[in-house]
Amino acid sequence: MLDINDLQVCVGDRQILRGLTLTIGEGEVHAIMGPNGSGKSTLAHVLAGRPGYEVTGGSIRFKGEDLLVLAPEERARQGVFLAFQYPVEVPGVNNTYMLKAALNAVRKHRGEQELDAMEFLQFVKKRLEIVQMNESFLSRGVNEGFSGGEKKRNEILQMAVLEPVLAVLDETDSGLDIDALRIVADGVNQLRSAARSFLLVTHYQRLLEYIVPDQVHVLADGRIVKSGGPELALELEMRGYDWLRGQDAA
Amino acid sequence: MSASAVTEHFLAAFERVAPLLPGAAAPAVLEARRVALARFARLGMPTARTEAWRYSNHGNWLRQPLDPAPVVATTAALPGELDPGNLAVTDLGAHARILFVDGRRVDERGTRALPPGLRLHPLSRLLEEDTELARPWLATAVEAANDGPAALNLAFFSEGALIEVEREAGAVTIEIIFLSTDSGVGHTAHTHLCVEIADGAHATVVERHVSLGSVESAAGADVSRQLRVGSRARLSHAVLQDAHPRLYHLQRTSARVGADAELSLWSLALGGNLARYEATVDLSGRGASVDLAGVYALKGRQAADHHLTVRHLAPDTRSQMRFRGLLDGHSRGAFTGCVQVAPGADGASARQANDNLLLSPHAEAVSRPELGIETDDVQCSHGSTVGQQDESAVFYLRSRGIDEATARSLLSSAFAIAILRTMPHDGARALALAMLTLHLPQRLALEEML
Repeated sequence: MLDINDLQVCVGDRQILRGLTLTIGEGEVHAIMGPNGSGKSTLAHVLAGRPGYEVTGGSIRFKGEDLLVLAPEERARQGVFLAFQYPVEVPGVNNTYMLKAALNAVRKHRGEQELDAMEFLQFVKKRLEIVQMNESFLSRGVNEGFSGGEKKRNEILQMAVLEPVLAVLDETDSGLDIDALRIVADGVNQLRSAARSFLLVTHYQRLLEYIVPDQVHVLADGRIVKSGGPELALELEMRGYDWLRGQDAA
Repeated sequence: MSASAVTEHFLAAFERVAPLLPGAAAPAVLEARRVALARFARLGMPTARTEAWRYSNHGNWLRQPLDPAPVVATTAALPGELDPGNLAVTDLGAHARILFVDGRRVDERGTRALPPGLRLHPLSRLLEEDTELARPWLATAVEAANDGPAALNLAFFSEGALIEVEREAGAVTIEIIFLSTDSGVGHTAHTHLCVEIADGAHATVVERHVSLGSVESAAGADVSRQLRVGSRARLSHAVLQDAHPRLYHLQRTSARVGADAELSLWSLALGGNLARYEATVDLSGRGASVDLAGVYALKGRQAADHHLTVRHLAPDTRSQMRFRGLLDGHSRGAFTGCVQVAPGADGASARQANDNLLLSPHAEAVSRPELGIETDDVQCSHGSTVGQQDESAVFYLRSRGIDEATARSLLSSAFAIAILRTMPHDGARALALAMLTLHLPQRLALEEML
């Protein structure tokens, strides 16, 4: 479903990713862990197509097609979703409007009927329950004045609405208290399906207690230095990252 | 034309048209016009060096001002295509409507009866038949005509309206439509409006300045307004302008606000070659307040110049200015906000904000706050920003499947809507949003964003 091969990425003069290779199959949940500055967020942004990241080598194939030639909106319509580490406030654009515009762009691409305001409201109400949000969220400006936890829940709501094929969660656990973390993790677990893959980018093992991944990878200095099962996360929690530096992928 | 030639030109034009102007036989009217003309002869047109007009020096109207529109009697009925029903009308639920086509008043068929306490007087009729009622307004107009264009308006205006609202009328809405058509080219139509809101009365006046059909040559529209808001009265006045791109659109408003009265002045400037909006507000009664707010959204080589002055003349007066500019192409948006606090106006508070979004590297925003404070007991704040679109927000929206053009349009709209959504009158707000929607490249359903 997702094949990343020998990916090299620069930001300005700085090389961040140095030959990253990763394959995620349909319905799989992979976690990427690693110290600050290892390139975790860069990978998430490159997958979503954020301007400012220059791919200098390697390839990313999504459902067999070249992902890198697509604009960010085209990737979204093909089913790539990025839950932002720092969700952006968009004052003056309310949540309903943004969600409906996004959903209809995706539906149009899939050749499905666009939803009108009433149909959309029915559609979104069910998704609100997944993240335990009430309807008042819909009438607020996108992330405007939201608490950290509300912003992250709003990201999961968007994911629930857009029903992506590949969801990349960039440090969705950062800044969450334990209750919010549980809500977010429950939301993700409800959205797990055989047709949907996840890439969880995280610092801490804690998130993985709630969302149990199929595979865990350690990213250091721009490449994956170790991969394993969920038990690898626990090992990292105990031993830190230093013991892995300089190692090549196992 | 040289400056003196321009002046001579208008003096000669006045001698030609004076006998045709309404009130020509009334000494008080003629006297006011002559005083205005003499003042124009002295002041002349502003030049590129006239500070208050620096950012209105656009196109060539200062060097080659357009002749005053010929004086023509009121049109009895509307030609079919001028019917306001054809104007993509949002029904404001107005209690009264006045229509001007290229400065001429048009009597509409089937006009509704006015509620008691609301009176409308066509100015042409007033100047001819009821000079006594017109006289105090002429006196204050003479006083306010402190630059060349203002003096020309007073000398040449042939039409306009006096609107009087008494408390018994309830909260009334008056709609005034100014239509520019191809027949107005080559001239400036001068119009004068007087609005009196009696003590304790409430009114909303919505002016729509729009064009019909395509207009290929330069034309001018010049509106002077006098607003008087009595004690504890409320007036909300909005100018919603989307005129044709060859129009020089000049407006000046002088307002006086009584004790504990509230005035709100709105300007939505979307069209025109030059759109100048000038307002001078005197907060003359204790506890008087004014809220000035607006949006200018320009493209191509359009210019808009908002020039606002609030004078705090009494204690416990409040003023607020909130303006936002969306500037694309080679457009220029200028904002000057002057706040003066007179000695003795203790407890005054004045806030001012002007924010601009540059959508093109060639667009220009000018923002000038000017504060003159002559008392200690005062709270003033001002802020202005000029910036570009937030690229992280653009990416955020794109990452959700929204195409880039729509994402940018959405963010621009949201920036403007933040101001427009606070318009107090539901109909006026809906109309303003509808006009903004038509103006944006992506026809977004802006009302759903609120």
